[in-house]
Amino acid sequence: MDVERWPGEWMRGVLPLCLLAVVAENETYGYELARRLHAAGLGTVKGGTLYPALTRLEDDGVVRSSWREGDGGPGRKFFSITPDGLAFLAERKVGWTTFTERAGSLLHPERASS
Amino acid sequence: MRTDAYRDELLLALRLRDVPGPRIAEVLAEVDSHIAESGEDPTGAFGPPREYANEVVDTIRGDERSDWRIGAVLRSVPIALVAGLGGYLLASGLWGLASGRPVVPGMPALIAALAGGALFGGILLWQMTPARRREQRVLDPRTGLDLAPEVPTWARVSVVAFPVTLLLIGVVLGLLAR
Repeated sequence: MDVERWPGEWMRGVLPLCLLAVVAENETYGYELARRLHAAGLGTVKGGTLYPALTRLEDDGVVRSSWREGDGGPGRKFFSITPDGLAFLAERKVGWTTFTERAGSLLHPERASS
Repeated sequence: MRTDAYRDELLLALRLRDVPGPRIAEVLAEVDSHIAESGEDPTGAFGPPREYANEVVDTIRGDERSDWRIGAVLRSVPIALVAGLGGYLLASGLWGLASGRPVVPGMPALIAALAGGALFGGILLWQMTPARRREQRVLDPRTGLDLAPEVPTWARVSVVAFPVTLLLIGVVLGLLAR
């Protein structure tokens, strides 16, 4: 399996959290978010997947957006995390670690400590 | 597909799905700015316009979203029926007034014309209220520019002039039938 093209159902599960985590570090804009995810080895997130996910996050109140003037070009839509978003991310980070450890123990029982 | 062609198709697809004007504007601006940064082909980045429009509808919360197909039909059929009835009464009433002959059973021609005019005119006014036009507006969030400019005056005049002409022809025919 080409690791740059992860299964869609995995990406659908993890994308909102990853977007939130990147936005929590620094407010940033769509294209840059896609670039960060790609740089982290999660493959290419296309615009058609990226913006709906960001819109859902905004509708849920965990990020907020604002249009800023670009340098010489059309404006960019910047996303920043809200207080609710920080709380949500903190909670989900813990949950995700537990979840993946448990799944991992099923996939690699030989590695699980007895 | 060229970006402006993609944007036009996407705008139309979103309108057909009754996506509110402000949301349409955000989506179009997002596509525009993303493509400007990445230089990709819009269909490659966002998928075919109709599919992306469906995706946009999916992101609208359940309580706001209406099944757009049902909504479009439920709204347009009664409107068409009432407008059609009004048009019939108006045209028949005018012909009856002009020719002096009875037209609509059980109703004097003048009443028919007035009732028809009221129904038909009422539908027109209702569909064209300023509030409705405002919520349909698609204003680019970056520049405030109207992405879906008003129908030009000549088109609006033609839309009104055409049925009015037909009604006048009906009146003339009625007069000739005296």
